[in-house]
Amino acid sequence: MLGGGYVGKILRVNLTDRTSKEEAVPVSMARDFLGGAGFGIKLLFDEVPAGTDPLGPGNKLIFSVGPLSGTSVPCASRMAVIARSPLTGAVGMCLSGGFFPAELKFAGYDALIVEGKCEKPMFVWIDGQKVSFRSADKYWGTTTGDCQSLIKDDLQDQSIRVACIGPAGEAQSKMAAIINERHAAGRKGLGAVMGAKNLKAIAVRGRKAVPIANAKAFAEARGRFMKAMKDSPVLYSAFAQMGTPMVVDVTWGLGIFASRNWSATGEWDPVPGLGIEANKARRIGKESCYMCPVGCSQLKLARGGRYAGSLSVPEFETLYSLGGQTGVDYLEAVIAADRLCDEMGLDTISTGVVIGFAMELYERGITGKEETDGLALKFGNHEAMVEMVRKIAYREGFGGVLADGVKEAAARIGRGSDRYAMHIKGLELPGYDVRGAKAHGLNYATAYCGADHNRGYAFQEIFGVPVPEAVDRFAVAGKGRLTKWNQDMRAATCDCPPMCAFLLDMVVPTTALQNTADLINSVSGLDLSPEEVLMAGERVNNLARVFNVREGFTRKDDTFPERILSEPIKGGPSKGQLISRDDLNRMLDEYYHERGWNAEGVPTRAKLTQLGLESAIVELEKIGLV
Amino acid sequence: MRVRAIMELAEVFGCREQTVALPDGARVTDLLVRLEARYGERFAGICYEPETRQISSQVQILVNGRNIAFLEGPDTRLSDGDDVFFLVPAMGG
Repeated sequence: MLGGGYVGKILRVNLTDRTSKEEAVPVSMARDFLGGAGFGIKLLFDEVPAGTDPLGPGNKLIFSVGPLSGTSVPCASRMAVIARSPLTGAVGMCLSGGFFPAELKFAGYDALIVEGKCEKPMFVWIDGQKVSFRSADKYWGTTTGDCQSLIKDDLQDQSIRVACIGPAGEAQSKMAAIINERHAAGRKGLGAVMGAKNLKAIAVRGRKAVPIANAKAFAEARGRFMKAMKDSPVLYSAFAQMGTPMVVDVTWGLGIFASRNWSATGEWDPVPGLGIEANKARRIGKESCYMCPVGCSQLKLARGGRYAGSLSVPEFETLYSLGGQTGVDYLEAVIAADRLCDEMGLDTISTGVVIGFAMELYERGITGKEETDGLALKFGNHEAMVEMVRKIAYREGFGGVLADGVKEAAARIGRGSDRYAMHIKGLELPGYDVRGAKAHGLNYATAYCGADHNRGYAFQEIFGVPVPEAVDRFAVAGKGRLTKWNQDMRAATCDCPPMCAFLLDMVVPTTALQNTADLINSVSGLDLSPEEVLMAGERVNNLARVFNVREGFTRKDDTFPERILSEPIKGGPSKGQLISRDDLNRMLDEYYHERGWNAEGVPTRAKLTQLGLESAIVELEKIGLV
Repeated sequence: MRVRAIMELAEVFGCREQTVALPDGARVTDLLVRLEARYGERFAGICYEPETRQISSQVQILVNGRNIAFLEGPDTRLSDGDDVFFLVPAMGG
């Protein structure tokens, strides 16, 4: 029996027959998978068999909050959104913040499973325990901001929270995002999964407080956590004022701000146009997620030129992708493109990377104006960059070639263009040129979503935080062990509770497991040890790995684009660095060994037994891999 | 050599990067002394632990991209053309 934190119910919605039902959350699922990404991946593994078409009715779209969401724990209004990714074919898991996650909890649910497909565009309206299916004819074609506003107006309640898709999701772009407020479950094409189901939006309103099992222990745990936040050397003093854009300056300093489709890292200076001072000059305020005292989302207003009046929250990754990758250091244009991506419902990272890819092809003469709808797709051409965002969203002209990500774009274009396609497992590379940060790179290569910085962020290499130990970012040895630690810690303390990941490295790097255990135990009445919390993270990473193995992924997919493997960084303080094939193989061997996986990267029977994942063993037995 | 910094240290320097000339055989400690002489307490307050005068645990110093913790620490030798980067607490991304 769960005494609090968890509300104990999963809402299952079937779009095909327009039914819904509530199911109980087993205590064992809470203990073993905690919530968030853990719940989602467990449900995905159990319910979406191998070979399921990601854009077919058999795929499931799961929204999963956690035991801390909706409580007064700061920075815990997070939700994991999970499906089989149409972009990668692997597990697609994104986390989003804002107010929607807490609202879903107030409505009385720990998770929402969406299955089937609507015959016509619809939205699902969850009004507490009452679920209804409404026509979305009126909203189809709207941008994400307008869609949210219109639904609130029509339901006559401005406190409703809405998660929706924009035109890109309707067009089933495999780079489409799901947007709630200004937040995004951005990557891996989850917006396309929603669009393929003809589901424009999910609106939710809840009125129930989240029960707390042990109020005294909760107050103490929360107090310790908030004191740690206050004691952080960076959280309030810098991060709350500047947000993630400060990492532009950090990565410039390290020589790893990936630039011009990763061809000019260290040679192209992003700071004057995209760095801290440029962002400060356009900052007009900030926004917070539910119960967040930090407010890292920095609102930027484009102040001049043709983009004047655009307002958005360009994070570091967006400055990298729509700025660095395209060679555009005109922040007004990046703000405008960021806003356009949000309104169209596009992932900014994938969109920027695929446009940067197209620019390199154009500059190399692999494509020309006759193919690019007359646009001179040269690095730095901000007008072409912004226009391509719009074209991608509507699959218009050359935008249609790019709309399903860089891997498919290279396949469509051919002519050797795949050499310049910067992705892993089909997911476009995030910022940080990993040739100069090897553990960060190994995480990209092995993360279950493809190239996802958030699944095992190597803050040791980027910010020099010496936890669990100081590391040399250029070294190869030890990076397998470190990557396992980063991935399991991230899953256990950020992705599953779920909790804002920025607090892991800024606030609780040495106490994250105890902090997570104390908070979850006090709200729920569970008695998890820190070691059990960490094991839950390991369990989630292993189950996700088996899901991918079941879909045919092997060691050969744990790799990098050719450019990372064979072209050293050309300038700056990381000049000469690359990750050779030999480096990669050494890191993979160490990583698999540390994980208890075989040489092909398949979890062993012993490891899965240790983690209590007998169902995963059964699945691997079916395909003769264990 | 080129000396670079970000955030509050760049504010102290008045720039993101500058050129500093030191005698042959100089070490990181010599660079710190030179910078303290030039920028005074504002520099020292960021770069040193207040009581021990050891390099602050909050500041990473990289020489040619590599943290001096993996070189010779404060005794790391510097040469003409070297790049020295001061990384002050900054996170997120």
